[in-house]
Amino acid sequence: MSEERAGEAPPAEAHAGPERKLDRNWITQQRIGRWIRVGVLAGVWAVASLVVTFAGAPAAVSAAVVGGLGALLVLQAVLAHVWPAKTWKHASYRVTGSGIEIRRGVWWREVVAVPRSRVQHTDVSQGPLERSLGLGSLVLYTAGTDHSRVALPGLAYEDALAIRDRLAAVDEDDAV
Amino acid sequence: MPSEPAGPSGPPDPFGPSEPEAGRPETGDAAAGIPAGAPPPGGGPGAPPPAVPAPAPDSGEPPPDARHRLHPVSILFILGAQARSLLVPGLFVVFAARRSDDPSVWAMVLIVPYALVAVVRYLSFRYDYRPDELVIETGFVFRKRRHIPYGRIHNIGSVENPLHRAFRVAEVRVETAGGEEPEARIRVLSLDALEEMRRRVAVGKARGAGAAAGAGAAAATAGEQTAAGEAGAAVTPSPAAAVMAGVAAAPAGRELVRLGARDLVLHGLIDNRGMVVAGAALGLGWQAGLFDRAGIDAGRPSSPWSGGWEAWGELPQLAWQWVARSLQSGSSPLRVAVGVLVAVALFLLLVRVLSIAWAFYKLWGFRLALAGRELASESGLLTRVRAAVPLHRIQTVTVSETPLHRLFRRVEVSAETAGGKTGSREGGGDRERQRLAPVLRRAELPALLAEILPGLDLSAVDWRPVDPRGERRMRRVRLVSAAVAGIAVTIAARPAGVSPWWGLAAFVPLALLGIWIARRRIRRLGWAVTDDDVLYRSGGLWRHLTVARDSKLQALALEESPIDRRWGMATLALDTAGAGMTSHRLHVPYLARATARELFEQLERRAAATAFRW
Repeated sequence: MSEERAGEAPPAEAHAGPERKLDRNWITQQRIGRWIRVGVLAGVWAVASLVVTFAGAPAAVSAAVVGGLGALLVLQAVLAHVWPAKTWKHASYRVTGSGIEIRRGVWWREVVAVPRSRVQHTDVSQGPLERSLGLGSLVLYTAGTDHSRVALPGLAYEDALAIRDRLAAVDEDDAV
Repeated sequence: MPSEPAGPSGPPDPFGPSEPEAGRPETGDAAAGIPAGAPPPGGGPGAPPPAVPAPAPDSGEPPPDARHRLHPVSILFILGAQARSLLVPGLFVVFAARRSDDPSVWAMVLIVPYALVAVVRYLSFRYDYRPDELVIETGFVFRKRRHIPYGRIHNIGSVENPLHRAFRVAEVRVETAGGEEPEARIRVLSLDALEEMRRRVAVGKARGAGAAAGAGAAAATAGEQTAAGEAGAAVTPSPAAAVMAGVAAAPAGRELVRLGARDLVLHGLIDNRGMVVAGAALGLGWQAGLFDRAGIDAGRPSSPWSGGWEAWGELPQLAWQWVARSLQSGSSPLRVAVGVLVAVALFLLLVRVLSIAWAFYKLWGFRLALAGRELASESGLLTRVRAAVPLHRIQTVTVSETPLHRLFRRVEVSAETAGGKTGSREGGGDRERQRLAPVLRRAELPALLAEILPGLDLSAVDWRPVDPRGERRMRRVRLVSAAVAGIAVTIAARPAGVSPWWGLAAFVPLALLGIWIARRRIRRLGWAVTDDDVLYRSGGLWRHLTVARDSKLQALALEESPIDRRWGMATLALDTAGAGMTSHRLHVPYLARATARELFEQLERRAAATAFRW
């Protein structure tokens, strides 16, 4: 009932889809998001520094807070600029005749493939920042366990819609 | 209760009067059942319509008396289910009665509200077979209506404990895909009504499947599918017949597994659930003050529920107290040592005996049968549990072997299904696991697997090893952790004035063990691809082997950690539905990168070429 197989030979175009990068605006989006976080942390750091300096805390404590946390903050700021470009470099996707293949990860690399027939439903979403940059996030839902939700953020909004239509175009016969 | 005229004076067996209606939807239900929105077409003019308190405004429901009710003894069982919450107030009543004069007043105060709730629940519970869904209505003040399409029903499980059997009723669980809880718990139905439910759901399901198949054929794009489709049709000539046969109550059909007393003894020995039982027994003994009587001084558990666990924790301390006292009172150390050894041996024996008893209790009369395309299982000494799993709902099949299993040449076979809760399931994290054969002769394994996964011949599987360099990698990890342990011992020993050589003494055996384990594991690690399935096996001592059909692969992932990349290796992770926390997942590590990529692409193609249905 469920194990029918449509032909042994895979469709010729199955693995012929071009490897595509994410939209470059995604780097900007990630940077802005991270900068906002760094800004909030900087505020916290400034308040904490003022408190330890004027509340007469031991020198070691104030040094740790002002210096140590300050250094962490600088590191965060550097990462906020560098990391999005690095993840962008290692992220790509490929829409094939049989489904979609998503590649990601800088240190821990991963290629996830979701066959079209396994996509239960899809979401395309847009946050405020994404909207202003013309981006959209595509989320695929499968019946799986680890990959029950496969997200592909950082697409141009029209691309996200097009991919969704492409993947959702599968017949309705696998409805539960 | 008084607001329901059809209630107490109503029919003793609610299924009798509903029969006339029951016949109708089957013959021409499209005409009779579905005029949704239309007012009641006068289905049962004989009985005055019961004064149902203002049903929901969106009501487009059939005549109220076409709906079915619970068995009247439900009141008893609902009360029974509340017994746990009654327990504490009940104790209070007992104590109050001791002091006050009239205990019956207190008993009334206590019982009456619960009894009322039970009666109201019984009265307000209705279910109805619509043309394509089962509708269950509950609630008196807040009415709740749940629609369950037949096609989504996985399993109609039933539980019969001795009390159920005395009344010839059963607790029924309607289960659907996903969700932790059964979709509906029906407490209780007469066995006839249960039979009817199974039959009608099967009919509804088959009809739905037929419709879907038609739509699917129309929508099918691939021209090549026709050949496969024909083959499929030949295998399952009539989905209706197959499902009908399957949902039938007791495991009819061809028997695949049956456990006899000898198997249960073996299972008890191997499975070792005894610790759990012993823990519970110990907790009870603690409560009853057995240890006080034995003259052992120990703290009381803080709550009755945690008693068992606290008792476990206290056990070593109790043992130590006993040893210390014996030594003080002048017994020779040798005698004490012998005593401790005997006690430990007795304890282990007791645990195993309890484990066997547990196996008898849970798995007495275990049967697994295949009827059509559905597996049906049955087990339990006092409480009979029945469950049915359509074969296509099985996501993965796992064969496990502990060292004890190997000693007796047995294996355990379990399956992961998506959804469904009844049956002999493991507790804990992976609640979707269902044991197909708790204990099975290894020689019978290929035959069983061939039944569950037609076309799979386990004895002819061509196992492929992982990258042999994996052994070096794993050994390195083991040696590093052994070295860390050795250094830790050295550092810890220094202030205590113990010789640092103890660090080496810790390192050497750990390292040797690590080398041995790495070798065994890597030799066992393997994967295989057959016509329709992917297989993965692992484990040096505790072995597992998992099979999944191509059509059950949901997503594939090729993972490379930084260390993987240095070695040019990758892990291929295949995702399936219904996997639990402790499942043996299809994650094949230590694959040479090229092999992994090739396998990934091959399986992606194969998965994409199959259709998945829940």
